[in-house]
Amino acid sequence: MRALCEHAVDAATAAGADYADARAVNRRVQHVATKNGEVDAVSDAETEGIGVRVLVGGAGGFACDRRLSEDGAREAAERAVSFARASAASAKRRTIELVPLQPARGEYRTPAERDPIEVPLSEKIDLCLRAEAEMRHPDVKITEAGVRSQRERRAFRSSAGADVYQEFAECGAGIDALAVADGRVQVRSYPSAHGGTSAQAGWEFVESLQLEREAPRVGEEAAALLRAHPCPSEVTTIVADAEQMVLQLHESVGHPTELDRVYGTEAAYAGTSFLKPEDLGNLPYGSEHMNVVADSTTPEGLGTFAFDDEGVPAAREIIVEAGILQGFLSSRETAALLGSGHGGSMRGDGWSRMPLVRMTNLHLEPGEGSVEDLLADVDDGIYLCTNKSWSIDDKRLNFQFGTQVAWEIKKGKLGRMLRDATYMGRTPDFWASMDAVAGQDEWRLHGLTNCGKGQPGQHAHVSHGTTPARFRNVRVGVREA
Amino acid sequence: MSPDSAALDLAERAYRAAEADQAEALVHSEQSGFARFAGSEVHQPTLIRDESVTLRVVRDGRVGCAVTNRTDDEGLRETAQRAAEAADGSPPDPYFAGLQEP
Repeated sequence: MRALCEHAVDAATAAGADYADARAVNRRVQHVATKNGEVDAVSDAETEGIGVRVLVGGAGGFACDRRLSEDGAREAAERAVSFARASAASAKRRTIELVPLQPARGEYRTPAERDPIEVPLSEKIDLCLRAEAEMRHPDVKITEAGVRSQRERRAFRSSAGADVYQEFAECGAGIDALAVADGRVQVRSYPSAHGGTSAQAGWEFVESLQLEREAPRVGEEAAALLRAHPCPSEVTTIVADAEQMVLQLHESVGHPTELDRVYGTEAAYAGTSFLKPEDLGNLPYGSEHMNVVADSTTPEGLGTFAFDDEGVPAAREIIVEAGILQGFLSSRETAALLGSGHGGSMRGDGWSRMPLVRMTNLHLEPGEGSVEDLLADVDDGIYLCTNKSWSIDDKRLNFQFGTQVAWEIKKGKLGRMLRDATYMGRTPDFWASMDAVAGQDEWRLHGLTNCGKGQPGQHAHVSHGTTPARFRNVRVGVREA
Repeated sequence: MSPDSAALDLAERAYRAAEADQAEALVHSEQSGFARFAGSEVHQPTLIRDESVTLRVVRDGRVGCAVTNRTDDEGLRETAQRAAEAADGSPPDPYFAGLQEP
């Protein structure tokens, strides 16, 4: 793969590219899903190919070919150059410039005890079926369990001399119980909703989730929600659990700080950002308790690597510090536009998609205390757990989230269970209302595999480390007419 | 060989690699170009060439599926093995009515 990348880069420069890089990728993914005690889906998919990115006269081009051969590498390179040359012919265009970078050289492999791909399918199916069985309850009409495994090999070469080889292993799992009675439908999930959680790790990560042990609680809570009181409509104090904070962070901090969105290149699809380049260093994003970092070195993070897909070394970058915006997620191109930063967030989905600015691992830094400490300072409020729904505008400014379950907080203690809980806000106002963040002992890493962006569409796998956090004066519930 | 003939040839090769009572091979070939504009400039120009095979097999009433874009003989052989393993690892599907007749 490395030799083919070199061949592609040589072919691109021979065809007239001023800069070229090539990524060769082989990826294998397995999914196992069971539903109501039966196998619902078993899939095993492998894909490989080479993608070549070039600059010709300051214009960009990208082409890819599934053939990991000299012919495939050369033809992809030549087609990329042709496309870039056609773009360069346009009189009205900006010349693409990249911030300087020392050529990257190195290798990386995910630390893993058991390769998730090599775990027998029968073992994965059995794990799902056993977990499902433990969720059964008279009111639970649908039980689902799923596991995923992925192994990827990736080589990268550039005309500047970069030479990188990386191997990644990922796996994840999740269970869901859907309860139905009296015209109501409620769902509970573990360890999180929307397909569970994943990590860059060996199969020992899935085993550590203890699906079978947690399953009875999941089924019981789904059933209990059917008879729970609805979330009231009011302005109150909320404490959001770590899992709900994942999506809060992802949608209202991760996406708006993607610098390509700030510059408008995703306006046609994924949206733009309420942030402006000149906000860097002075915009109040949240309260003094808000500290957010992007860290592509986090152990077990889905966005962890040695080098991104431009060859920029992994690093820990401050995005928000004491509530002030201090950084963007960037590429070499967008960092050059901004005049600040050096990239490090360029990631392509496989071989057939050009890299875009994506989240890697984005974390809300822990504060102090336990979740009980956060609750203790709430006289009257709501504790929200496990995301159920999300809605946020295309600038990432106005949002509404729903959670699977909530509990009243009365005089510092949890009270009765609530169903159909929602809350809403405006991004900087909401984060400004955060007056407490739980400490390191409550910090958990969660992995998402369905972050979509770009055209043609692609998905990024990202992780978020979060703790429970408390917010004052938040609108919850649905207003009645 | 025309693109249509090449796709049928690939499907035939994948089908013959299958280790099954019944088998079905689906070939998806793509040659695409995408020019996206933002701020009146070309952004994310993308040219793709890909070809993949989805092989579905039935073994003792059990159904398994595997996908690959490695279309050489070794790739197809491994895909057939994976589809067989997927079938063998799954319980029999009481609702499966068999593959579509020609």
